[in-house]
Amino acid sequence: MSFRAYLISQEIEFGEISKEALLEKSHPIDSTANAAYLYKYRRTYFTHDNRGGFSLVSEIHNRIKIYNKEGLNWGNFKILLYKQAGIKERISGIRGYTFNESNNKIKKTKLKRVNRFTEEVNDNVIAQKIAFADIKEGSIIDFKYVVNSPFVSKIDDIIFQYNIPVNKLDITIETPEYFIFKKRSKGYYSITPTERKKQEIYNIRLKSKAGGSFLTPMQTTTDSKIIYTKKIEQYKAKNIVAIADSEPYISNINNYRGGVKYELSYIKYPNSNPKFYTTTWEDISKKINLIDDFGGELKRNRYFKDDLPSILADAKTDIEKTISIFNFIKNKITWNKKSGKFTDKGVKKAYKTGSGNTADINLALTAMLRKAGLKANPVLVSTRDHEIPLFPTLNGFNYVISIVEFKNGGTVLLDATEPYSLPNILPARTINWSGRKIMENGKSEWISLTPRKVSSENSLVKLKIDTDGTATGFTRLKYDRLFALTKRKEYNNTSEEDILSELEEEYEIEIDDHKILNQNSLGKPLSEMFKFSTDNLVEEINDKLYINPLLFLTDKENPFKLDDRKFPIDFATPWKETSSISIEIPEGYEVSSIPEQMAIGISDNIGFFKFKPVNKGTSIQINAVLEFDKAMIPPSFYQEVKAFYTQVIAKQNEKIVLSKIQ
Amino acid sequence: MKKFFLCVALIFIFFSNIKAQEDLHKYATIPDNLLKNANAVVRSSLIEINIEDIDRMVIRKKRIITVLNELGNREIDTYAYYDNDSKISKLSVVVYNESGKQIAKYSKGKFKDISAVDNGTLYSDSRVKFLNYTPTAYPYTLVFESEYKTSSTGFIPSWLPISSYYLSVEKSEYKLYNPKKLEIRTKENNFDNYSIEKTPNNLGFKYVLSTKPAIKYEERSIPFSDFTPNLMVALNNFVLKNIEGKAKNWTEFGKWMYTKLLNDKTELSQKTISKAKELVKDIENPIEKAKILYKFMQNRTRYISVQVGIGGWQPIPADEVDKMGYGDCKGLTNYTKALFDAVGIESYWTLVYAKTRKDIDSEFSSLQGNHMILNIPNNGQDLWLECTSQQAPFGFLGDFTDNRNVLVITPEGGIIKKTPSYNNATNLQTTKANITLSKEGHVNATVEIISKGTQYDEKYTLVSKPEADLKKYYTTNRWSYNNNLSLKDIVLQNDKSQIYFKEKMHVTLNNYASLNENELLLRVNVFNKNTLIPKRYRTRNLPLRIYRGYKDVDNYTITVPNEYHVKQLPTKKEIKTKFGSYTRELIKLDDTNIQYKKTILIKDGTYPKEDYKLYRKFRKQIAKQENLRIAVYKN
Repeated sequence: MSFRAYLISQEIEFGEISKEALLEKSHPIDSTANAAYLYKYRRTYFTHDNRGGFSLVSEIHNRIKIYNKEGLNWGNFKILLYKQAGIKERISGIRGYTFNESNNKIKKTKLKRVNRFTEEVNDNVIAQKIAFADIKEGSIIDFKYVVNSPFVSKIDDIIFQYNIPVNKLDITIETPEYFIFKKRSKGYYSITPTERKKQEIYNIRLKSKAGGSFLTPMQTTTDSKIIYTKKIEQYKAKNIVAIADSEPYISNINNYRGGVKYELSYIKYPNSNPKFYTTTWEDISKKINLIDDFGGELKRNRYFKDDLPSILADAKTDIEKTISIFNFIKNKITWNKKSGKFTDKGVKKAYKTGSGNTADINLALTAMLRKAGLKANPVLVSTRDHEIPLFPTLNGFNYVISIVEFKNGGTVLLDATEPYSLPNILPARTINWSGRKIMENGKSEWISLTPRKVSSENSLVKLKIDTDGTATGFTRLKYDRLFALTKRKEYNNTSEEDILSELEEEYEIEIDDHKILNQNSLGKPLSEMFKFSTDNLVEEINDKLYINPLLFLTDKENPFKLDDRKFPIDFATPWKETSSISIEIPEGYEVSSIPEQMAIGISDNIGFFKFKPVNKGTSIQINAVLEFDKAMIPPSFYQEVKAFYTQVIAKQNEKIVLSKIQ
Repeated sequence: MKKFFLCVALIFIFFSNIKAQEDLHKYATIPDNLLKNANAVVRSSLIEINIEDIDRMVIRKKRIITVLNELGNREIDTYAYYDNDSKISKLSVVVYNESGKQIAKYSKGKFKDISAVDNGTLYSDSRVKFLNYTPTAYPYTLVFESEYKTSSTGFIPSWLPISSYYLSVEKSEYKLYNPKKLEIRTKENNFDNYSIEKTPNNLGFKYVLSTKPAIKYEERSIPFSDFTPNLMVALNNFVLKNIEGKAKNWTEFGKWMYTKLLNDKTELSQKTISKAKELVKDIENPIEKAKILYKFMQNRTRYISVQVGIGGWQPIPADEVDKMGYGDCKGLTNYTKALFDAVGIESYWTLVYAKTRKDIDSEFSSLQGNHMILNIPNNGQDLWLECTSQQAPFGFLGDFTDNRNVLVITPEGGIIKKTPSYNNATNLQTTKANITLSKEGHVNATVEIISKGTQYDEKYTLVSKPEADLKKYYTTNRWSYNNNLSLKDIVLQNDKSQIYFKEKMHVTLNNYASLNENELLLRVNVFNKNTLIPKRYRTRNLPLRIYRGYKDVDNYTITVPNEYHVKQLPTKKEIKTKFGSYTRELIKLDDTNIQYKKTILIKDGTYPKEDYKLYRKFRKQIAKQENLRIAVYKN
């Protein structure tokens, strides 16, 4: 008994707090914290009823200190409970106190029924909302509850890092020997758990005939004792720093939050065959191939049978066939903006009605490509707003695209949900690390989703300066690959007038004769051209003219302003901006000075900047390239990238000086 | 008998429309003038309201809309709200393709049902059924029909025949049946300039608007609701969540709210009353007392919104707020009033439209407003308290509720009053700086900024931010146009009694001035660059409105390094327009010291559309001055 008590008892007693903690005015380590978890406790274990059914229990105890008024929202809680097909998670044992200092004494306010609200969010989710009473600056909240879940395969992710610091963390996961989970750490903070084993005994009433298998209710009733071993993993840590989400070029802060994910790989009861959930990639691909909403859909091909010959009528090579089918599906089925690795309506219905989710579209695409004799396979993807799949997992993916492998060894990735996508040019949402190719034979492999080729923005500007200091000129901007896709999407949804206004605002110029070329000719770069005039580009100070060499394309601000960064810089794609500027020297002026040329780089070939102005007598020609050859830059390079940008900005802001010919 | 007659009438109307409606499913039948600037066209919209009795109302809607492009999808509005005392009886969507062929049909069961709790609310019994339709091609036509019954007649749907920009209207109809001849009032707003037909009959009335081409959005203009028609309808005697109400005029409405919803909610425990009395025991002046109790309230409450049943209109009892330490605007206002009552300070609940400026209609009494504040009559010198902020100074409303008609609820009835306005020079920011330039081009400066009025409102919450957040705010937000900026010795002072906010700090800007052979070039307005240029409109159709005026005064001294000297400086610039004024002056104090003085005054107001160009020109001239740079030369 005492052993058991040792195991489950918490080191911190619920409902008991110290006066020092209550009087604390700011967090001793992180003075910026609005609130802190003084204690974050969770114990997740399996329990069983006397018929032998297991369910999952999580005991939670949170103790939160609120330091200032910005932190008052930490007095509100929302606990989501899932339900599915009549079975649901239940919350019980909700207890809570708010502690405040009052006349040098501890004042304790109990959480009451009136502070709780139950909201049916939708068919699958119930939210239990709780607003603690008497919350003010300095308050401490003690809060515990138990969630009972029939969904034994789903142990909630362990999260170590929050937007506020955690002073003391104690999380235990206890799994019976019958349930085998795989676990994997994620993010930029990890804790190594201590592990121990313990024997557990429970009484089970089996209604069974002799020979009845374990846990299968049968006719006669026998009571028996079952002894099994459970594995106890305990994660303990002190002073975990808060994680902040406010820097540029972060895809999804949850990818960087430290934690551990558990995924059920198999259940094996004594004397029975194991029931596999997921263990290896092979199991996953085999399993998903057997699921009707995935593998089943790939086998259907009657619904498009009649259309296929005409689609392929003019296509001779494999590449032509691929493009033809890809374009056909893009036009045939519109994406309903829902992500999914499993079909929503089913490929057949989606094909017929003309709309569907990602799986409806891209599985139909894959099936059609296969039918046309191409080596096509689905690729499971986790989108940028989803987390990164860390280990053989199905839950880790929320999207599916398609890959075609050609006989010559070339491959293309296809996502037909996005009208402006092209083979190998995926929309940014899908560019998140790697995807998993699922083959018919149950094999699978990683496929890198990050574009290898650089997306570029190419600008050409010709400028003429008038005697009154205004400047007029002509511009052509060209975008390719991901940049073109993003621009096309944006322009499709924007009126001509708004496009002009936005350009005018961004560049501080006035635009005439604006033209967009190749908005729908996806094979060509998107380009736009316009004439402009402005009196902002040329500055006259004491008879001299000062001009930024890159004119309105000058980068004025360093995007990286913070002193320190803990996460990678994620551009989604390698990219480059090239500018080619020509400035006509006005009558009566000569070049007094032009900035010197410059070429700098970031180590490991991450990126470079080249800048070269040339005085050609009647005009000045400036060529500049800013290029990043890596889509993702590790945090160890942050200082270098920031310093690099400082130099780039400084160089771009050096002036061309023209003076009057005496 | 009457009811039977009504049914027949409804059926007749329905049949008479059938033939015409088939045509409305086709894109080709849209008149050309309705296609211009439109993302969608309302082919026909019908709202039919049948007030069966004071506590029974049926609302039937049928809307046929042709969506022309992706942006038009947001106009399909395929949702219906309901709560505990209303029931949706009918809900359907039918979709037709360009040529009018039916391509999809959705019945009530296909609609998703979710809780309609917005982000600011913890709990509400309001729910919504909605349908997410994914169009497969444009244009398409969607017919949305809904019908719901409610036992609350406090809100009779208004008629807003033109519901948004870029939306054309072929026909919009509003029919109201009032078989019991209940006393009803209507008010027509902005009906001039629109072709609207009104037909009264012995059962009620009907309004029809036809053929209105889409209106293009233009920024810096008057609100959409100020120039598009809307019809307000209200019963003199109504039911709201099972409570009978009266609203013949504001006096009656106010009396009703006072007696039925508010008056019995101000009780406090003896303990809290004693506490309140104790807090103000040595103070004579009632306003000083109120200040202390307001602060007491601010320190022990937080804003949480819970709206159930009549709770949208009735505060939770003061005693409960006292126990739990939270409440919504009504709960916190009422709690503050209860504290004031306990010590004999006169104060009244006040209904207001918060955030976007909107008046409570002084001539039309009905359930209006979306927020509650507290009024202290103070012998004719009205004071107003915002009770949902833990930080607002006593008597400060800011742009959340300033300058608008509000309804003060007194035992004698409702009274319309106007909240004070923060206009033009009241919203003053003065910036003083001593700026020293080094020979490497770095800047070292001490800055002091004092903000008042709405400029105070924008900044005062900074005082509770930790230093790291402040540094980030100044570098990435307020002064993001300055690269390589770092700060130290930040001192912030929120003077709640004089209501001003003071920021003081030391700033360094590395490589601020660019080095060019023998000269240093620097932008003179280091700390308050105002380069806003309104969007260019090739043709402007709507009036210009400047919503909030302000005044900024900048005064810097700039010291250049000893090795350098100042030559000639740009001459003084003065611009005066009806929109405001601008002056910028640079004075050479000696060879190494310059004084920079700038004043900008922007006046609020509404101006005809022709003035937009002039205002833009004014702001362009200012922007140019704000980017002004000077050169200093090596000796």
